[in-house]
Amino acid sequence: MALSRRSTWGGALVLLLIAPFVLPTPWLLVLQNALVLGLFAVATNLLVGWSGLVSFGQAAFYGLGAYTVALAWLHGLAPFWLAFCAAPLIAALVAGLTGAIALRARKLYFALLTLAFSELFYVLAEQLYDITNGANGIFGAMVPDILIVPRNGFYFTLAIVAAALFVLHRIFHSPFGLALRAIRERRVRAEALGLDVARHELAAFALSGAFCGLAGALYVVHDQTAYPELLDWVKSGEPVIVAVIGGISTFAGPLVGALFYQIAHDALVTLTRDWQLVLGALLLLVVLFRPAGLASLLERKER
Amino acid sequence: MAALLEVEGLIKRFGGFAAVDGVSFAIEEGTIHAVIGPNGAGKTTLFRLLTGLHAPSAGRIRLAGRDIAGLAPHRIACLGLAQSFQLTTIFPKLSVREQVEFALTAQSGLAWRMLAATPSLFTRRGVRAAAEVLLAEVGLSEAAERPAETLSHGDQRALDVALALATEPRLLLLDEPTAGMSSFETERMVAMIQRLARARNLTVLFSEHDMDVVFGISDRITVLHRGRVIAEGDAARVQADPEVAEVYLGSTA
Repeated sequence: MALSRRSTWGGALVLLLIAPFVLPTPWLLVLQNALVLGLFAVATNLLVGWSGLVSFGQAAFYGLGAYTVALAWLHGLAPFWLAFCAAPLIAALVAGLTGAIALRARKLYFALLTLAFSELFYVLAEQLYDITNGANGIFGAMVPDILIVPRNGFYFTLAIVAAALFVLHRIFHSPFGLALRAIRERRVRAEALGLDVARHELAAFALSGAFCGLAGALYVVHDQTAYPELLDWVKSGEPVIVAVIGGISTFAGPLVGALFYQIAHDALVTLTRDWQLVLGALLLLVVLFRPAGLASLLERKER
Repeated sequence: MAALLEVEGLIKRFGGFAAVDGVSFAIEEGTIHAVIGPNGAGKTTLFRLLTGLHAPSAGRIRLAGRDIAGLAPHRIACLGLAQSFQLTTIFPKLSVREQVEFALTAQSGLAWRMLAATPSLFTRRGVRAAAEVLLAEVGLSEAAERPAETLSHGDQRALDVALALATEPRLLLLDEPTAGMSSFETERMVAMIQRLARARNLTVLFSEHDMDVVFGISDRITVLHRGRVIAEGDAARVQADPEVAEVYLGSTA
């Protein structure tokens, strides 16, 4: 089982490594986009699926990561590489502060607070015109030339996403990850056993924010732009939907969901204007008939 | 022998209603102590006060001389008081082994380790071995890899006790440990409690409706009625108490 799982990851990595030599550039960019969404979805699932904390505001940290890179370029604050490294740290810091407030509430109220924070950052990005260019967003040569070459941009994204997923995978299977799952299963009992639940939840929120911020910074590598919609609740819903399609109870579920969603999306938009209808129907079918997600279909075959 | 737990003038009001109304008692170290009383006597509220799920309106709770009234549940757990719940509160989707290992590490820095793989770290730190011992003690070795939700009711209660024991408590609270059990399962549970208490030199406080269980294993019994203590003593003394008979059998008896 462990061996076959390892070979699945290895096989996927090999396929991704040869992708630039096989795929035409537009599809390579789609795949790159899917990898970024995959990281965003797994990072969001650290809260939603692992810890049982349903957040509808992770775009705040995703957008913050993108804006960190874009603003650093716009105002000449820092070179790209430094800004790129700072993005997850800044996102983690802000997540720590907002999490300290949002986590005082439970369940639905927690979800609504995360959504409110996300909208707050959205409004700030839109209104602070002098700093952010407002609704126009920021675009320009903010990414080093070397990453503009599609193949390089793809490999850079693949390397960062793979490294981030490796770390997240370690966290999932660590004692800390076990504690998060225990909190999800029965919060009161976890606390009665002596776990400092509040601090674990805050750490999970900051960690998730960091990886969402990293995904946002990678988005800039792909699109060379940052705009307020990266922070709003529609964007926040995306990783949650993707995670549900793929399956929130496993590590790889959201990744499978992201690859499927992004590729299906880009294929559908060329065929029909009503792509949202098709994806909506798909989500409905998964929730009704495959609540464990698409990844559970793959698991079946593996056994 | 010194008192491990001392409760003094404990009061918990909900609005104008006092669910626990001036309760005082002490539990000697190494004894099995029962709290009994009809439904609504305040047993569950008392337990929730002891474990920190409710903050008392007034009164003192001292565990080994230290005042724990009003502390957060995880702090009280760390000071050596563990509880098994009335409604079984295991972790349904985690395997039996996983949750015992979690319970063994919840209070330590190990629960903060983010990059170490659980099996190898737990093997190295002796957590795995400790979990094996604990599972053997409660008779769940065979079921170690099963998700807890697939266990029988009796086995789930045994797992619940194992989780509480994993924190190495000085005082173990059991809220109706045999509730909903068949007579066979009840016998098994009672034998297990006695065995564990002796083997680990545990102090046990439990609430129970089954009087055979209460009189069979308790060193001392406290009787609650409408939030107050109406009698206390060993089995013979409580059984002979006229007020207790009245509360349990009605004034017509």
